[in-house]
Amino acid sequence: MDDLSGLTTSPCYFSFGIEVVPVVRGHLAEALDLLPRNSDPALEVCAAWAELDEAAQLPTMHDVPTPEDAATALQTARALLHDAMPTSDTVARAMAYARAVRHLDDALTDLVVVAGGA
Amino acid sequence: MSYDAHIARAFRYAATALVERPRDDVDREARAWLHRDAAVLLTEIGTVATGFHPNHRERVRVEELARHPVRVMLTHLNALAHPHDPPGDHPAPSQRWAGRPDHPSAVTTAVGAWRGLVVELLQARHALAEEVDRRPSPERAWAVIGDVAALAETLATTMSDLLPPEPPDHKRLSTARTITTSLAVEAREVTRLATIAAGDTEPVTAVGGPRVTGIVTVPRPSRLPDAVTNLAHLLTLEQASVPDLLAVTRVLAQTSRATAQALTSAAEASGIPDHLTATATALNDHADHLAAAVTTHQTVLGSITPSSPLLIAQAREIGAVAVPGLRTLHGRPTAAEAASPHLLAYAETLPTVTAALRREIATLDARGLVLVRDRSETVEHGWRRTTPDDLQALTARLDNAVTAARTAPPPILATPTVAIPAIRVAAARVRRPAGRSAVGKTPSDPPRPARDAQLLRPHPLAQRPATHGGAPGYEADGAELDALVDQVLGTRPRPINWARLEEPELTEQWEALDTWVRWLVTRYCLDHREIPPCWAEHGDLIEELSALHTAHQAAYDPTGPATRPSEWHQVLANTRARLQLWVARTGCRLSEHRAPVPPAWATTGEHADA
Repeated sequence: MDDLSGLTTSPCYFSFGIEVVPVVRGHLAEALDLLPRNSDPALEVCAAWAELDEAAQLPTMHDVPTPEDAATALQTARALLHDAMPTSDTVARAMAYARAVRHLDDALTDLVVVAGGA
Repeated sequence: MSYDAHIARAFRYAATALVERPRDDVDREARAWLHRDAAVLLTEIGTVATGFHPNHRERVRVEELARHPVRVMLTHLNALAHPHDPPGDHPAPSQRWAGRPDHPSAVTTAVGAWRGLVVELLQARHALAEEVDRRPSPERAWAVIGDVAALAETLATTMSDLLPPEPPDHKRLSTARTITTSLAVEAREVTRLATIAAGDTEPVTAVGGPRVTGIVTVPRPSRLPDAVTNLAHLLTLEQASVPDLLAVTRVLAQTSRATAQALTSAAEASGIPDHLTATATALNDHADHLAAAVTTHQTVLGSITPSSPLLIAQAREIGAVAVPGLRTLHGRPTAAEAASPHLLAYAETLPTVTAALRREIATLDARGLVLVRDRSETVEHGWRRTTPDDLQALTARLDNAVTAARTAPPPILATPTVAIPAIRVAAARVRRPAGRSAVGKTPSDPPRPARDAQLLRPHPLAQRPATHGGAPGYEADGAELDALVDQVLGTRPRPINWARLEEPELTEQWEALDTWVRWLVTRYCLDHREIPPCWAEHGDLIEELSALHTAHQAAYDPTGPATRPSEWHQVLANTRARLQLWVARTGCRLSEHRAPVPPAWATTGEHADA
């Protein structure tokens, strides 16, 4: 695993050609660590993760700074995917990013519901 | 710019459009017109590619998807383009599309993304018409159909975003929801077929059940038990990867949780609240175990084995359509109660599918096909093969899920019935082919499926008259479009639903089945205790034999693996055992037929809740 925890995730960071997906996965993994294991938001995070999977490839993941909370990690991952959509190398990947973003939106909505009900 | 260039830009816009959900009513209204524009243009692109002109007054059912996938999708797409109640005032296109961004990266609002998408579709449609002024090749047609389907799914998804939560009594909104849900289902299936046509995926034809040549769509709760049963079947027959199995685990967790919520709502309006509540409790336990399993292992398990597109398609179908549909039942006791027999039937399928899931994970692990993320320095690339301890927690969770599913009380409500095929077949007054008898047939030569005759004809797209300039002037009907679909599905039989067949296909399929059953009886010397002469008068025997027939066609597909015939004989053995039970129940003898007597309440239409 690459240790990129010291790096920021600014847009110019990705202009050097580093894949966005491993960084997004890092944020998703952090979010999963912070969410209740069997919760609805955690399942949506898994769904977003699955959208980013590519057949017959092991998922790569970069370490990222530990977020304040799960919502922060999800919002960061969402922003990264959203920004990467117009410039992704294939339209299929852009659509996969879009589907992952929708799952993250659902996860964020579920988080609000859980917080409201708590 | 070419069609390909415009459609690629359209996809970029579509990606942005997909993630931006509506903010307010002004946003909704602006989008509503643009959605309609997109539906019109996607329909036209589909027409240019296939020659099929859908009629927006035509009513099609999503159940027809297995037989006429592209036709059904284009017809529903066209229905969205011609709503009964068009949105608001009718601004001119110059107003609707004004202010569109120059490039997908310049999109700042959802409406901007839709404007860009619509204009790109318009240009793509004209570019395609010029490109295929005579006719597209079948390969080109499939590529375009795949584009249309993928964008149609985006359209259906985003249109669903505009609809309020399921309205209890609003017919127009209810119809709109039905159409958008159906379109999403259809678009996913057509996308899958287009992928097969492009050669990216091998067509999958499994053997062993009545619904094995594709996915089971779930436009309504009544289809959920069949879809989950199909999922269990695919788990057994397909070579899946660990990510596939985790995806299935997640979808089942979400489905069980949503079903439990719906049953809890149903209990408020039901005469058997304790039964529904107990089932909901079991489903919640089932969901919790599966959810814990997948969320704990999603990031640490991997595999480099190929994925199973069919398994993923079925899981996605359940996750994307059934789960949101079930969630709309929460808080609507009457609607939930109406669906409760199907939800209880779903609960009944869970031990089997969950056990199959657990078994497949154990099998992959035993074969060394599961990799686990390992951060220790001694491990190269961060991944290693599993040790016996690595998956212990996962399999224990799945075992607990199986146990939880088994605690659900068995359903006590009858599953709603469908039209009885035997009656339907009899009502059609199908005349058996004259002069056919077991004696006259050559036992060693199984009959060619009726569908083959159609396949052997020249491809209809190659028969169209040439036109010059502008949009194609050819006409095509549904049969031509079906032939294009046949090119993908080939001789692979699709499920036969006798309750839905219409003439002339009903007669065609009936004759094929009749001929094949005579061959089967002759070839395997089956006596009347397994297949009586009056089998055609018994709906149960028709269904069993029809399923066996399609499985036989799939098994002897020349492009299939050589092991399939052997697998079919296993199916035959299982079917023979069931046939004996069915026949024993009929009481028929070699020289005496006893007409089946369905329960009166089912045939008279009187409801069981009286």
